[in-house]
Amino acid sequence: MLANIADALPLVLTWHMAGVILACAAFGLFVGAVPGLSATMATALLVPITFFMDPVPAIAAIVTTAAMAIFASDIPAALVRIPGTAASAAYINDLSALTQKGRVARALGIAVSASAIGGVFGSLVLMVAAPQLAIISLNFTSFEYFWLALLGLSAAVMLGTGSILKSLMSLLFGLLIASIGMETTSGYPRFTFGMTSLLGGVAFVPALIGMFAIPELIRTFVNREITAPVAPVGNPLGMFKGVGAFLWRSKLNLLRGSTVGTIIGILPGAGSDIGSWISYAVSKRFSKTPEEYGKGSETGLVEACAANNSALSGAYVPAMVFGIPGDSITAIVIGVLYIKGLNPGPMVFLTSGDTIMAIFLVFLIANLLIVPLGLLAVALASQVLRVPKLTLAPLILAFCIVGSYSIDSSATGIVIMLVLGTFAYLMEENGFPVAPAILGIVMGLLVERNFVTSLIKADASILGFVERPIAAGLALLVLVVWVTPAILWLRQRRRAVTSWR
Amino acid sequence: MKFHDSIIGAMLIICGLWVVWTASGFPRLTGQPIGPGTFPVVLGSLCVLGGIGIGVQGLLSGGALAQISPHWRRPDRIASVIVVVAGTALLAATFETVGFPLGGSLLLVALFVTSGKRHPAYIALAIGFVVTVHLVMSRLLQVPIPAGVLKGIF
Repeated sequence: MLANIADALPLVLTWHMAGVILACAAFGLFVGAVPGLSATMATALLVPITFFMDPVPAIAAIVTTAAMAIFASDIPAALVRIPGTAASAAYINDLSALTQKGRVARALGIAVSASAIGGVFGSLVLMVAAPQLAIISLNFTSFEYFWLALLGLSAAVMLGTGSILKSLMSLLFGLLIASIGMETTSGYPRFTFGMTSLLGGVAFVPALIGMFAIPELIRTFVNREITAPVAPVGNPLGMFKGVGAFLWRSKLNLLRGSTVGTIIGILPGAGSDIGSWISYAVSKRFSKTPEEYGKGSETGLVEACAANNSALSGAYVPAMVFGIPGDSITAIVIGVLYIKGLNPGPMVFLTSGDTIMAIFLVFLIANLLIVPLGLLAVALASQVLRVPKLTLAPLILAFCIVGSYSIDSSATGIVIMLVLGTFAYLMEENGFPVAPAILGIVMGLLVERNFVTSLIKADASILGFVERPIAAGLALLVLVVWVTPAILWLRQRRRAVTSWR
Repeated sequence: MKFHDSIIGAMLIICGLWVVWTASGFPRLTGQPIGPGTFPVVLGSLCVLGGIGIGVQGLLSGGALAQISPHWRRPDRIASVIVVVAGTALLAATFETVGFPLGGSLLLVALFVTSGKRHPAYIALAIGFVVTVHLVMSRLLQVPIPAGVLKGIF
């Protein structure tokens, strides 16, 4: 590992990288601070630009943007009670309550510091655990990969919010989209309707841009809500007054938040949104003052903020080791890695160890930069938040059009963006979450390839899927993920019937 | 625009059946009982089962067949959405010939106008933004974005 770090340092410590990191940090902070613009959307908009960059700066751009956007979403959550991303939604009541008590600067100081600490913790775990996991995963065959991919997809469906059945349908929709185009084993064209532009399949980036951005744009134009007045921040330098002593007192909460966040981030399919919610719930469960939660609890804020950014790093473990995205941002990163020829999986640690370590080092730098740049962002936030979303929306559409076109210099990308985006709007309006569909589009090829390969190896016998011990263990895990919600539902129902009697 | 779950369930069943029917017609791999249709058939079948589940849930819950939010009844808001969807589709169809600087500017101006922002500053913002994006992408990042009818200028 140390040798890889030594090889990676020259790739990271360059003026070009410094420029990329600073520019993307500013972009991430801007997008994160604008309510309604998500970290995923920011990274999706960056993809066409990363297309023309070297691998390490390309991934650095995405990593930095995501880390900054996740943190920056706390700013509008505190100032105008609108979370910049879903990850901030877990503790928005506490941030808002602290703001109402006139302690907005302290609340944001805690959020900045806890986010940075959580992010650094997650990055260190990533640097240590990912290469070790990669060594173990070298023994994996198509059977294990199939179950692992299925586990990721199942976790995405089960851990999401809303109806499990609708999440599952959304996932199926994504998998069906992924099956458009020439099949990899036989080269047979599927569901192309005779269009040559669909032979290569549905391009991932326009699909992603469309499914995240277009619904948001339609909602902006239709709803046109008036943004609430921005709370005054005061002197941003006062943000950290007394925060150090408080964090030291809350060191166990910081550690627990970072650990829970990292573990949830590592679970394929879960992400910083889920990490943040679960960490907040764990914090409340073990707190001596649970009644304060939701009414301005600084302890809850510390744990959930740390979990936010540590989950972001944790999500890169399955992404790098198995090529399975932990969340929608890592799904984008996997796409970029493929474009750059760095096919994620255990072999990439052997063939491009220095590049991977350079990416991990960027994680550390990005998370450390949260503190100084976060300070700047808070100072500027009240100005940025005054830009009406209705003014930003047309400009974002222009970005989306250019981004979708530039992937393969074809207007088909714009059409894909528009069709899937409009469909995604209807999906969300009717309670179908979009994230499982995105995971389906990203992982469709991986799941199908390993499914077909395994079927051929096992002579089309399903038993072959559980003959190897690791495969059987993973199959059992998948079964647990599938059965647990049903058991919980039955238990709840029985309890309800008993209490009614 | 919210549809009743029974309608959504029916749509899922039809979609799943179509996928199963189409994918069943795909040829098999030589000497194998499986082929390019195997995976889509599995997905289509699951889609049918899910559609039945959602449809049954919908039938049990009752309610209106479709609900339109009050915002969707406002002509100015519908106009903006039409500009986003139809305008972008039109731009996609004419992207190579009209080009991004002109087509993109017209689209953005139309969006600002329909969303009530009719001050000349917004027209300047739309044109300035599109031109800046075009120049950054085509000159700085060397991404070939078509200039269309304004080829001589850009």
